[in-house]
Amino acid sequence: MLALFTYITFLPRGGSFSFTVLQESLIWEEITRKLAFYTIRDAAGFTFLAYLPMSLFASIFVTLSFAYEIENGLMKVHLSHPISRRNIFLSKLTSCFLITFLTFSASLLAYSFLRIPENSLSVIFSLDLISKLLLLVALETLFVTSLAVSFSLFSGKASVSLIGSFATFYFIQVLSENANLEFLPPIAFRNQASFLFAFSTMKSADVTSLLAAPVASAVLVLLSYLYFSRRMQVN
Amino acid sequence: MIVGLFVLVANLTASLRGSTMSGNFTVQPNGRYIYVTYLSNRPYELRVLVADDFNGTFYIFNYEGIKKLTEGVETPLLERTIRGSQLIDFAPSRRGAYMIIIESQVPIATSGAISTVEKEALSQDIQTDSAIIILVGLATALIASIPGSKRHMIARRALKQRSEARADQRKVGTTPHNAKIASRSTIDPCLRLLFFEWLG
Repeated sequence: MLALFTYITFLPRGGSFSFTVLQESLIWEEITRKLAFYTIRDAAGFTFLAYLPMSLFASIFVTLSFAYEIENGLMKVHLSHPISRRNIFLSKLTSCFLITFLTFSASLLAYSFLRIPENSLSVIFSLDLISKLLLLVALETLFVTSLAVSFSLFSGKASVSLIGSFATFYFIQVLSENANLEFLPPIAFRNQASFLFAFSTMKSADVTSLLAAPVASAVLVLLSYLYFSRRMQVN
Repeated sequence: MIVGLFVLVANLTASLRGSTMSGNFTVQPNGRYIYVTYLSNRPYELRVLVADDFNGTFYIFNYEGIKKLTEGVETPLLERTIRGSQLIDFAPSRRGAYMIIIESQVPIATSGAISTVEKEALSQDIQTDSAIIILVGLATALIASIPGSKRHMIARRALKQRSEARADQRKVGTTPHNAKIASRSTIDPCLRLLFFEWLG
């Protein structure tokens, strides 16, 4: 997974950033800060490209962690232990989330540091920019993980979970790009990136586009949790 | 190591097509137009399109040069006199941020355009960097697998034994002392039963 994300981010692409500097604002700290900003903004643009690979990996991990274990009876063994259902659900969800989040973050941070190697220190000290980048990755990972978990739990079958969740991710992408529904991923992730790395303030019309995916993720996680802890019967 | 390997693969397998980036600018009378751009380790053709009567100087500074420029010392990588539109070939030795300055020496404001045409080539600097990352990753993996000194081995064995003992305790669910009592307590009722049976 790290290999694929690194491959995507490091493919040479034409065109990059450029910015004008006024004679009177020729200050070294300001220039390095701007370089760090543009480097991390370029990295944030890859959240759009990584949507489908990330969805595929999330579907696989979540299916193995939830649906496959329900199907082969391993979940019954977990539930027989003196551990609450909440803890089992949270540990499985967190592990699926962290695998994808850490891998993608690692490849994006590697890109940010290797883009302009001389300016790496400035990138490291721009903690606000790095936090924004990690927030973007976290939001995207949360969306793909929560949707895959819902599919996995409600279907209870590995094949349905894997194919169904990935097909849904693909369908969402097609809808987002062809029907121009900007609140759906991956266009929503691009909007989030351009909002977080823009000098302009947020317009009220952008709110739906920015918050739709995180709110949907939170609702899906909550529904999955309630189903897992209260309703789910493992036969 | 994985990151390094795939940075290398990505750059080798890419189509390596060139690209063009362009923008407009206006230089004030006897003023300077300054902009910073990202250039890879590839040959470039910089096209400066200005009026024929324009007279000025074109400078390129690398990262260190920009730093010195902010301190008031001018050390350009390339300095070229411009009279009208001009093509300038430039091949950076390393990828990074480069500052391009167009200095006007005419008493009127001039508008123009500048295009950066990237040509097809393999970025050698990123290949070198990725090779270094691979070597560092490989070295780290090898160092971790090399057996240490005798003292280190004894310490590792002791640590392993301790972790195994802890795992055993976890299986029983008690400390070793309590485990003995627990095992005794499971035998004791049987002995007591046998004893009472023998008594009749």
